[in-house]
Amino acid sequence: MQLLDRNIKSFIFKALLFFSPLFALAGVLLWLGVRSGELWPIQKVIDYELAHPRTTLFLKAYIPEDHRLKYYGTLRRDPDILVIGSSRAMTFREEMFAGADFYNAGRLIRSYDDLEDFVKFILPYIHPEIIYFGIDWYWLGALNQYEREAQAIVFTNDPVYDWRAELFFLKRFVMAAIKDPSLVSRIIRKQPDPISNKKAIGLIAFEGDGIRFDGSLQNGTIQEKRKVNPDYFDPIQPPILEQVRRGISHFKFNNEIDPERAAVLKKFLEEAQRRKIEVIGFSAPYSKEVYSELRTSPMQQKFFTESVQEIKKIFREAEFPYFDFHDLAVLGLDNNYMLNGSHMSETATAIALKIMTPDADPKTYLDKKINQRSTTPLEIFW
Amino acid sequence: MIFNSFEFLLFLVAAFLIYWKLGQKGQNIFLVIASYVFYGWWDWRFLFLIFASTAVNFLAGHFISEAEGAIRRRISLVLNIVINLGILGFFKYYDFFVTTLQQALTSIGIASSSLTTLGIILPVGISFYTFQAMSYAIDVYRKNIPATKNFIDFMGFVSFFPQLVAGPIERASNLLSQFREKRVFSYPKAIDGCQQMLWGFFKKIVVADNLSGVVNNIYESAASASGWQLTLATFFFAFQVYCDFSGYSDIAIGTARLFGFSLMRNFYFPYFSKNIVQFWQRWHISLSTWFRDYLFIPLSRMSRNPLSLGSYARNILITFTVSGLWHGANWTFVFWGFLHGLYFIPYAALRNKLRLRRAEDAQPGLKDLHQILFNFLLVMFGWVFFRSENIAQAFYIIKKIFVDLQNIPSFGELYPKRLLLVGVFILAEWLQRNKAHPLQLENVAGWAKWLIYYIIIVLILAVGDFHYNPFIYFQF
Repeated sequence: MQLLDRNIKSFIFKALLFFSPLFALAGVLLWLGVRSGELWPIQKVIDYELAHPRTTLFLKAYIPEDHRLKYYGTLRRDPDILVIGSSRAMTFREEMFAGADFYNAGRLIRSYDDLEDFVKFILPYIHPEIIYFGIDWYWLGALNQYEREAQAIVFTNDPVYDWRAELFFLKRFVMAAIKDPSLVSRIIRKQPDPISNKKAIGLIAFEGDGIRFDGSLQNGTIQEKRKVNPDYFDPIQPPILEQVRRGISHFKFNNEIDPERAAVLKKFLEEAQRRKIEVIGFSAPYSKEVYSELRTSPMQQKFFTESVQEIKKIFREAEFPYFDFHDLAVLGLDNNYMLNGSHMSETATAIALKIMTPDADPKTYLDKKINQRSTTPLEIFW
Repeated sequence: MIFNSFEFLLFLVAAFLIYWKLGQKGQNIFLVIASYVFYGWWDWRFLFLIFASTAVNFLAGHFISEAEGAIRRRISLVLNIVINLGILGFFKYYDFFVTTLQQALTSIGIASSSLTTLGIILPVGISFYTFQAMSYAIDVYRKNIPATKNFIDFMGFVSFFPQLVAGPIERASNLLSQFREKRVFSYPKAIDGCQQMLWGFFKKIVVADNLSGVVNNIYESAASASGWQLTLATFFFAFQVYCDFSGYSDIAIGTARLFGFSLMRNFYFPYFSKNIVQFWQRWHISLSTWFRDYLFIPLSRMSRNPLSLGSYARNILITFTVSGLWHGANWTFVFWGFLHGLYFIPYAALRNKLRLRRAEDAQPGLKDLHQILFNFLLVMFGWVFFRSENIAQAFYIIKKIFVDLQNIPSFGELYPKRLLLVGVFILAEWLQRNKAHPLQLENVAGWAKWLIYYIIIVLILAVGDFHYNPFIYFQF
């Protein structure tokens, strides 16, 4: 081995000098990323939540990991009462269950592929007494394609360790900081979320939207907007009604039931029966216009009706209850109880839960809470 | 390990620091180890094949040089070529030919169920290192170079990591000889190498990767795309494939310079060519010269009257068709190659009258714009075949391009940002067309150069697509 000669040392020095401003800038941005929670690995988020219960709000802007949070959160919490389903099941709150051991794993299941992975990777390791299962009717659609997120989680590291994800975060964060320079000072000051004053982990949480300790979703942004303008509107782009009319996203035209997907639902219910887990199925409501379109549109009506009938049949055969809340009228509600075209509010959730819950005491408890003066169409103010 | 990855940057820094602390012998051994680590990162099983290919060609060189008599020398060479092409043919073309044969037999009513494809994994870069190693044996046979007795040097020549998986396809007379010589670190060459690498990354990550999404979307939905959209997609593809491949070559050449090696130039601003002859003197130069020296010239020598138009045209068509097949196991590549051969024939017929000048002597100017544009259109036409999934799709797209012109796109439908990107890129290359690469900025102040480098780096980081996007030519 020989010493590096002067030319090489000079070259290395020049290279370091050239790259040092970039390294310094990247270092500062990564530090801000860690301070904001965007670059926290999920296990660290869960550790912090468990060490500081009910003090956090989590949602990242650029490295979406809510699925990973729910996956590991479910395994580590192992609750007595578990809610699963898509984001449409995320307004069930622990306060609704009056102190029971509860976790909302909404967003964990977005398809029957996810349900299959839930049965394979999670259910064997948890011991719930009751599972509330929010079912989206279009999951049965043969034309709908879904990614298997659980498998991606099980077989990969947390993306915060992937330089590509960190680079993506750096780029987006720089753009966000340019648009809103106050963001940097809020991160440095570790400003809590403006709605519930909880520690914000992730840049979306800094704005007031995020996942609470119980796994439910705090919809701070829409709630603040509806305080100013209480009338219902659908902020999703494009609105759910348009998606249904155009046959895009989940609402593809001429869809039909995939028997393999129906079989996954049957298998899940059989496994729950074997494990003596009570499963209460439900389908969350749509806004009145969306429900009307689904029921009357010649392009949607057939598959929508057949799909709901199939779900009812499967639950009936498994001797588990299923509640079809697609129509807001079943809950005795109107659009003001909806956050958007497809997501019900906290109040609507409590009303639905009151109908679903089998025991008298919880019903009485929920009734009392709903009727309190502090209730609004969107919130119960637990 | 791909170039546009963090792993490669770490690998390069570590390799550079260790390499220059070693003596010449140690450097050669280290380069072999580093190259095998680089290649094995894709799939460690590929290492057996590259080692086997290296051993076969090394031994071939030995047998050819030691053989007594011309016949034994020729037998050794032929055997070597058969083995090399056999390996390449098996891994790259077996499934293709079986599928083609199945389709042909089915079309004439003969059952072909006994023929089955094997689902063979194509080892990355096999087309490149096989040709590179084969050229050594052929050059030894022609007595252009002596056979090497140093197996380590030869391993380094075949597996040299900067150019291993996508070229340039080097000749032993250039690269192998550099393994025998002491390398001295040159500060100006290292800086120039870094500049060329930076330009290569810009071409690959900013230009090529950002165009690929649009091209893929439009070509994959060709049935619903308009003629204008398909034209635009083909235009973008012309720059995608150029920036992808030449970007890789720039990175390879620049990286090699950091280690004291000079690789051959592989692209010389080919879209500024005034005619198809010049185009092939500027595009994938290492491959076109390989086919010229090892296929076209031998074919010409075998022809009774090589200077006749008939012989010339036949040999050109064979050479280009085989060159097309080299690019991939699909009839689209074969047709693309054949098409370029057809483009050559008028120039062959008129070559005395045209007095075509070599690319290096014929720097284009604005007065040549009409020739440049015409030639670009010819090349762009050929890219339709190169990009299409099959011949039928290619002709379908061509028909649409010429026939479906009713819906003139709005400005927004022309992907203006990408058009601007291509425009800026063309301008940069045009202004620096007398240089080896556009970042050779001799008359620019030091601080201005650094500013330009920072802008390019920021563009790479900000605009670059860092999803997994392996170089197009890796499929070869």
